[in-house]
Amino acid sequence: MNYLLRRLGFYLIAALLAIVINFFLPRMMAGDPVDVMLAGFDTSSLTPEAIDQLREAFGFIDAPLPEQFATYVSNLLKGNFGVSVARYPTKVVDILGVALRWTLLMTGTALILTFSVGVLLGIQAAWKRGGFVDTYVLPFGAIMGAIPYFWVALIALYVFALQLGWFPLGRAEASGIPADWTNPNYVMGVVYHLALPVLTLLIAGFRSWMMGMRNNMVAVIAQDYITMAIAKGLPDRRIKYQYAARNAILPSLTGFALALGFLLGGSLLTEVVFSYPGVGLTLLNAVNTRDYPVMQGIFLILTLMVLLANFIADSLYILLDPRTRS
Amino acid sequence: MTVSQPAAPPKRSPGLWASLPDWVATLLSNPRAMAGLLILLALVLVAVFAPQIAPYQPDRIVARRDLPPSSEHVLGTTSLGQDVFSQMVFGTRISLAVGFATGTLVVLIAMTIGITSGLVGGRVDNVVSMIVNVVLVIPQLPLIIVIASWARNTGPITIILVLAATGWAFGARVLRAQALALRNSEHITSARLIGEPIWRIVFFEMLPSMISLVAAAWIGAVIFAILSQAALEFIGLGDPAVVSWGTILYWAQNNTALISGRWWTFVPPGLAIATVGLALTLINYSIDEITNPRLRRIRIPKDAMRKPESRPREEPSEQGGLVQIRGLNVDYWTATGPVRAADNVSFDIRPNEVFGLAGESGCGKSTVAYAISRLHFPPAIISGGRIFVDGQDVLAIPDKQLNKFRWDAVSMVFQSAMNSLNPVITIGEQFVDVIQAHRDMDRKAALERGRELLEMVELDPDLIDSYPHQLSGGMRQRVVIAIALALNPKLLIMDEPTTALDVVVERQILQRVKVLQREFGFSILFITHDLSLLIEFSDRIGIMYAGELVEVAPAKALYTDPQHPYTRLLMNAFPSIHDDRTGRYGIEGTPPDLRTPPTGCRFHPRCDVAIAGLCEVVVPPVVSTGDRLARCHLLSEEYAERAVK
Repeated sequence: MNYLLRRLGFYLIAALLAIVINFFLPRMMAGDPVDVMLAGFDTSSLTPEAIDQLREAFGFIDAPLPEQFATYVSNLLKGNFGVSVARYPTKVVDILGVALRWTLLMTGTALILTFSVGVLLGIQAAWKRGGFVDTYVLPFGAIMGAIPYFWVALIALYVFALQLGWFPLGRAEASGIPADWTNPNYVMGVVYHLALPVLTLLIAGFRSWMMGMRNNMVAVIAQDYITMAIAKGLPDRRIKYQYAARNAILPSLTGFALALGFLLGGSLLTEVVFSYPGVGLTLLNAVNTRDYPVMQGIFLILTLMVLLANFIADSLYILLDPRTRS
Repeated sequence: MTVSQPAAPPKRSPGLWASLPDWVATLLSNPRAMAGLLILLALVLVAVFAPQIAPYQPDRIVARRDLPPSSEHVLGTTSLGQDVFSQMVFGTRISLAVGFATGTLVVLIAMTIGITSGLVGGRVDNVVSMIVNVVLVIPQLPLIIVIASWARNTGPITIILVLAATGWAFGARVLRAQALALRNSEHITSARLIGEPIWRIVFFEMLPSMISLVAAAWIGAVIFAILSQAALEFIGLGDPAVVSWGTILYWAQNNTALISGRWWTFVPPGLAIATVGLALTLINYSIDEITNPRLRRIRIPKDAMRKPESRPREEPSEQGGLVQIRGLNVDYWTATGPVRAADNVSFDIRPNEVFGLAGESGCGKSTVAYAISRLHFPPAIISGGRIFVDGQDVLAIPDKQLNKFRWDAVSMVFQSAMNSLNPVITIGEQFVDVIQAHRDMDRKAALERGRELLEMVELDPDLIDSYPHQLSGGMRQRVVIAIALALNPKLLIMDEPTTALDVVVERQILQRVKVLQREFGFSILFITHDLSLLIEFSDRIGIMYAGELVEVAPAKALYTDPQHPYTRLLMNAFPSIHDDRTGRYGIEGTPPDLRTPPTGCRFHPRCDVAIAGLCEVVVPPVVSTGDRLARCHLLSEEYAERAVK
């Protein structure tokens, strides 16, 4: 439990850092940040009170910095991320709420798929040196790692949706079917729209797990307990999974953050390419309209999600490694 | 008298690149790395000579809009009527420049922070590594987007700064780990002791020894920069007026090139980025293989991999031992060819006997032990000889039946018992799996047998439910011994089983093993470099030097009358339990490099009684008298005759 508490402390520090970044970025701009924020907008629809509200949400009050920071944090804790400038007076939280669900669906599905496929391939690559996975899939993965994620999505969209017509050209739901998760037709539509984006994420993203797992496996295979397992005459499968992979997966879980961050970045861009109504598309719109409250809200929410996912990975680590339990 | 002539291992001439640092030479001789370097060079040339190569100015409107590729416009035109090919050529400049500049900046930051932190250590290191981890856990792309969107001017310089500010952490972590590993090395410690400034140590002492890692970090950072730059520009965070691969994609997306099927505006930039990425990945892949030797593949010729069963048969001798090793050769293949780690080794282990094998580290004693269980894997290959265990021709066992043979006939206690147990499953599981792999026994019975075995090695049977980390080193060693006895093997190999234990625990464990050996009647191959322990514990002893067995004798005879000069010097080098020999001497010199073993007798450079003109020229014969043998000219009749003359 000590271990989990330490990790929790670490994530609190990381969350704090994200908040600090969010707080200070606007303050590093010259002039009044809210004016910067609003520059280029038609502010006629904003009442002076609305602008003051915006200032307050970001702690831009007439007070010393620590007090401004306190105001900002207390607003965050209340769930107040401010209001959108471009879609005034919609709250940032409300804009994110809907988008976040689609992002969770896509990133979550992609995470499970890339993790399983990547880890299994990594095990295989290390176990059979010179085998098919080691000789062909590994270099393929290495090459995929050097191609922009979103470009793979562009090409897939062009070939499989536009040219071949196998998949829809974008969006998350089939048109004409009301959103109802108990309706199998609706669910099928969602799955159909999800398939191509997730497949591109899989093709582009399995490598980070595969490489990591393969390197861990190679290191574990050199351990004495593997030699002893071989000397014991155990069946190959048992050595491969219970002795080698079971130990090799532990560092993969601690390297979770990196891979997840990478996947998340890819998934935001994939949403842009597929016009998938998730956080990525919202972010793009916010960038194009310079809607800073929304951008900052997205950054913060995504960071918190990633930290949460990491904490879950840490808990899993405890289940898998008896050494952390004592 | 028996005389045998060992064959000399083949020698290799130094490679073409021998004068360069090792890893650079390996890199340049690697075709993949070479291909990567050439592609990169070609792209740099395109960037440098862009004005000469491109037919048009990249931003000038030169034709109708949205023209498909033609001989006039190789890659068609944009939605404004610019020449896409010219844009691609000029785009190379910005994309490569941003990539290389960011990569360099990232590595400089990572190096300074990572190496300094690892070198200084202590509290500074704790704080730095926590900051590094925090930066790593924050999702990068959203962070980059937020920072870049606040920066009002998002030209290439801003992008470089933003990417450097967010991208340094990964490299810093890798380099810090390496610096931590290096900081205790001799030359770093001495540099710190004489008070060299930190920055001098970082740049002049540590950097040279981790330059390949730095190169890998640089390449990784360049890939990261080029990909992130393209992503930023693609979503409109770059300066759309600058012509780069990313902005070409941005304009393509903005002008609905995809839906309209104008592939010529979005396919080329992606391919170009992929080409750079591919070139860098090829180089990195090769560096990875060089810095991580485990990933390196060593080419072993087919005929060296020839299965032992295809070699001529030989029958075990009737009155010989339980284990009969005949002319055993084991080769370790390296990049420069095979190195013979065990050379023409022959000896017997009799039933109910403790046979001791000793010698300095690297002399091949463990190599011989591993061969008996067929535990050598490429690049180690049993290249010759025969091994019989209880009449069974071990090297002829088909691979599929090996698992049946292992542990059943021969079990083994490994050098580091600490690490011989699987850390993530219980002791009980590790009894159950081996028993069920060999015997038809249910789980409950197997666990019961495990408890019984734990009692045999004087452990609490309830330990069966614990994990290895909950036990002390001595307890773990007892567990390994219990597992080794689970199937009543005929031979128990103990490969330096007690090196990590203190003397008292060591003695208790060995005494217990001896009791069990008498009770169950198995043989033991006991390997150690502790000669006094060996003499006390063994019935007969073999001494190995530089891959060869140089002497075999009953323990007592070896102790009172060592025949080989090496054995004699070894005896002097170790304290004895029984008497206090006052004068103890180490053996001068170091064991030979097996890649180029000395000519004649391998021990002659360190031998205090070497005969000039003989020992460094002629390979000594194996001289056997009664129940002992030794490989030395001094014992041969030929020499004796010559001496008489």
